[in-house]
Amino acid sequence: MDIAAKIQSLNKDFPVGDDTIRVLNNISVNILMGELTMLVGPSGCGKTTLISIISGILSSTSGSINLLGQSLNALKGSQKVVFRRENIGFIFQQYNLLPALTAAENAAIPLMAAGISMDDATNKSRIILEQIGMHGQTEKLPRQLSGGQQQRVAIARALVHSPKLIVCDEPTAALDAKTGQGVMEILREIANDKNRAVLIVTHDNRIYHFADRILEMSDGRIIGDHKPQDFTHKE
Amino acid sequence: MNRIAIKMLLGDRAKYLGLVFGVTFATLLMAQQVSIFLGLMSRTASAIYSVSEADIWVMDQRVRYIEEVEPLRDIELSNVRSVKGVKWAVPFYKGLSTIRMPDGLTQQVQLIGVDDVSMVGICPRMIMGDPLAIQKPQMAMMDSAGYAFTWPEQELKIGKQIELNDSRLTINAICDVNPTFFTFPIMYVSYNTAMEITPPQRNKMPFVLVKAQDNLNLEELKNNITKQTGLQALTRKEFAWRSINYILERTGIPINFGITIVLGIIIGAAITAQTFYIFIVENLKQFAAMKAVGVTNGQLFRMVLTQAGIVGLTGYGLGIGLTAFFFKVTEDAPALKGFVLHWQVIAGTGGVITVIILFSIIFSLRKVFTLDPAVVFRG
Repeated sequence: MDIAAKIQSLNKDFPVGDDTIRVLNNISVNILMGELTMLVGPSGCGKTTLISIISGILSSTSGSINLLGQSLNALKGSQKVVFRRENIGFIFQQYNLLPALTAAENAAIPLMAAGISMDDATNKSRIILEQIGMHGQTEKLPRQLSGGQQQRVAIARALVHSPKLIVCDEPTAALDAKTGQGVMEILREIANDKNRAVLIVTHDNRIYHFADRILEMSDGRIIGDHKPQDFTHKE
Repeated sequence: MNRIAIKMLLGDRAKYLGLVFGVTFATLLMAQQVSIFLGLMSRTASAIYSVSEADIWVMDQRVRYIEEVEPLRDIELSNVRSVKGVKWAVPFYKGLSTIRMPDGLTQQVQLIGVDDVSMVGICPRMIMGDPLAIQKPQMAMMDSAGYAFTWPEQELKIGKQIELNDSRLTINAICDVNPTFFTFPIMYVSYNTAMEITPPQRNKMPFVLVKAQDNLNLEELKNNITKQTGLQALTRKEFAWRSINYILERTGIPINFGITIVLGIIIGAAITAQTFYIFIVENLKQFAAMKAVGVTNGQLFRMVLTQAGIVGLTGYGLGIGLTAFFFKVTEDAPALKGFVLHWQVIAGTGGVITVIILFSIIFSLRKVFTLDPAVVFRG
């Protein structure tokens, strides 16, 4: 399998007063294409910091990340934004949809940010929304949608520009079990595409079985690389 | 992305209206107060500008503004007439008097006495009666606003009798005149009538109005008049500005209006900047999400600029509209007669509002530019 992200000796320090604390400690791992990788571990272990760095939102203190053949360390601020826009799709725990925009318009934001007209962008986002079961909901505002439907809009937003890497932060945390399963089925299907990688940060042990691989983190380190059937959750 | 910006802005009606209200309020306060201030200043000079026939006003050297009267000797009229380059020179009386009405009530008026023959300085717009009627003895003309002020809720009609210093006068003409700084009724009589009905004193003539001969340099004529008579000679424009400057320097009017205008700017800026800042801060998570999915700072800047532009244009348009509406509604009110919204005020207010909006943008954008998109991962 191709490597989506190659992470080597990654460290991240955050300043606290006059001191610094190391939240990621010598992380080396590969994220593979065509796989759904889950990043699990207790709160504060550095999961969110790691996906923020992998997706180019945060910079590392040291170490290297090669994402889809591009060294993130070599990219400057605006180049990183453009790289992110073209290659990464995001799904957040709280959906982060714009309340004044319809589902189709929300899902079309990455395309509009890339300079595509609103009409063309929403035409494409409607197709994606239909594909993930949002038939008849595309012109509704977020407040008119259920939590599961809002998360589907967020998934459509993450897919609309055909990114190679989908990064999800607790995508099922705000959803009930049934809706969460529905969302995970969509993400599982996306990960079946050999040209895509899906990376999910989660606490939700009900969805572990959707993963191809589970990376276990603790105190800023990756302490285990498991197959889901072998992984015993220890919290 | 601009369409998204507009939807974000209009999507929250309450905040949008709050923002627009801030700009509207600031615009209204500035435009209205500046217009009233300019209107008052122009009133200071309106008695001078309404005498359109004369090129030069001649007066005592000590006169500092139109309402300050230092009587000249009668002989000065002849002295001025004898200056080379003077086409004609006529006396002009202006002073405050008190009239008594048949019911015994009294009212202070501005008494204007114009030359009996030439009628130079007479009210130019007649409403009722014949201006030449004041050439007859004991006849007077009153301005319509003064008439309404003196006899409220009574229809304009000629024939009203009043008493002034034991002399009986008949109002046999009514005219429309630009209001002056003091809003007392304006009463026109012939110069000779003015001399008869005002209290006796050695000298009474406050001004001599001069018309220059054709193609004559006014500066040269002024100098000649001063040199030959020792009197102060000013063109209409000079005298008008001297009167305006006197009011500006010697009264609290500019300070009071200045304070109101500055308060309007500060309050408007504070409301607008604060509401805009809160609008941005409350949308920070949305901006962060957009930054995370690849919207650049440049695109966010243009979005905020679009939002601010819409708020600014809407608020400014409403504010100017309300100001214009105010002056339209009050155009017949004697206290506000002649006050208008000048294009310079519209432009100046637009400039200040632009600065307020830019200030609000700078204040708010710092938050957006320094925003860490990673906040979207923090539940």
